[in-house]
Amino acid sequence: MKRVISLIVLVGVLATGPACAKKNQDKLSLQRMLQTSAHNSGVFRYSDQTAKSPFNPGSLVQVRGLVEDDFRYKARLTVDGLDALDEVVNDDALAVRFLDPSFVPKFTSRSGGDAATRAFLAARYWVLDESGAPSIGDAAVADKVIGVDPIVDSLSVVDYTLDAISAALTVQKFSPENIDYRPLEDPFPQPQQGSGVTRWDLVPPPLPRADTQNTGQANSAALARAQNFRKMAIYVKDHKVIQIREQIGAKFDLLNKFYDYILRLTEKVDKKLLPTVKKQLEQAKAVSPELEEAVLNLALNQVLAAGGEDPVRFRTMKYEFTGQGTKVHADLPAGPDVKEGSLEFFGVNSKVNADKQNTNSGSGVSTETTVAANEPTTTVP
Amino acid sequence: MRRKSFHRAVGVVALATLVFGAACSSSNPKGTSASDIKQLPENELTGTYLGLEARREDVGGSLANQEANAYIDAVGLYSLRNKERLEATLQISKLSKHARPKEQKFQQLVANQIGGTKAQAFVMGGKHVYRSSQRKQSLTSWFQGDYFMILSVRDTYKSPRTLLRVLLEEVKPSS
Repeated sequence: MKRVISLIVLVGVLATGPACAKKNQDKLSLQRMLQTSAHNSGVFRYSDQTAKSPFNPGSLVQVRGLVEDDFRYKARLTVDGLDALDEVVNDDALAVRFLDPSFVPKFTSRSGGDAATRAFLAARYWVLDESGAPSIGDAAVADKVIGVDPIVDSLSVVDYTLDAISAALTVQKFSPENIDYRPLEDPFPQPQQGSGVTRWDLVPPPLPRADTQNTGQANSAALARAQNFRKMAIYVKDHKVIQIREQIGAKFDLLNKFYDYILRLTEKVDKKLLPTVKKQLEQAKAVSPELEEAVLNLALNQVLAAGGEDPVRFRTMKYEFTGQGTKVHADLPAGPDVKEGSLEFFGVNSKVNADKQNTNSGSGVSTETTVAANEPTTTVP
Repeated sequence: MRRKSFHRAVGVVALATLVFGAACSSSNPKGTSASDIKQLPENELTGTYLGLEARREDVGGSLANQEANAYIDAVGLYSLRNKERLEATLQISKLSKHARPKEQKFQQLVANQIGGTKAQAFVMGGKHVYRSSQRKQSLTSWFQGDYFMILSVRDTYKSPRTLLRVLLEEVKPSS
């Protein structure tokens, strides 16, 4: 009997090693393909959609553009079907034109900027700032500017995806023959047969146990985060990443687990709240799974916010990158429709400058807002 | 005065970034010692780039005071000035036969030694460049044939990316 047990243990150990190595190898090879694709020239399309709920007005942000290289791109931003603005970055220069002036307040800071430049933007002129290009490659800055300019966000999808791969439990090659594949729960399209496209899926880590012991920061070990709700598919052709799709949400079985998780978390945070929370969840559940999901998301985000963490933003994202390697040009606009001005108060620049000023004044906290406070951010979380 | 501001702005030649050990295994080959590293000639970089005048700085003294088992045989440090104001420097290093500049891994490992932050890879005009930063200056490095370049630019300079593109296109060291 003892011999049989030893044999089982040994086989188990032998089987685990290579499987783990394979998992890491797949992650690394996918990350390598992403890094290669990231620096190719080509044309891209990006969309970011949040569902409408009683707690969120919902939005659809779309960006389409072209990338000449890492320092030159041009793009058009559309918000809820309305063309909002065009943006061109050419090395140090930034040119912006609002197609719909009603978006000017949304993408500029309330203070700063001379009146003439604001008037040009409101009158749909191009404004060219020869040294206004947003920061690139500064990780410390990048973390602070997420959500301020969806075009900049769309250009950082690859970095975002690299982080998502690192946070995933594993990645696996898609096959409808996989024993755990459930077609009804799959939000993403299958590659067409004979297309030469391979799909890789990120497998999210399971929800943590709400009663996990604290390890350092308050409750941090017990809190669910975006990676626990992330479904992501990466489509590859000829060793190049051509499409990335993501859904952050709690659907089907995960919704039930999320429900239980929030109850356990409530019990841990404050037992007295449990009957009220349970009642609210039951009411939402009776209306629709979408409302139940929205209420659960709200509850989790309240706990995350209390711990000083970023909220989990349930959304769907799609990024397509085509014509990779083809020569495209992101030339600056020219002609009578172009006016020179400072774009320090636009998008990412406004945030960076506000932070600089606050650092200089010693407060360390930005008081500037570029996006209206009651509106959702339109970005990669 | 000019000499003082020059050293304060850019420090000394970045020999440390090109020494053995950072980018290879325990069986390191013997590299070039600092005393054997020659200075590149003054005419290796002349003329103006985006209105900045290139001028070689004498770093013979700095080289003599350093210890190195380096990947380079020769080095030149060139200042790029707007009148007397130093805006940037370009260090051009001639790589030794032990360097492997065509290997991406070697490039990244060497680039990671430059500056105070991990170097990030980018592509400009079809060439790989590595960017990092240091106090009050941005650093960009790249490989070109048997040469390794480090561009250091003041953070107040208005056109760092345009300058980089001009240098990438126009500076072709002679082998």
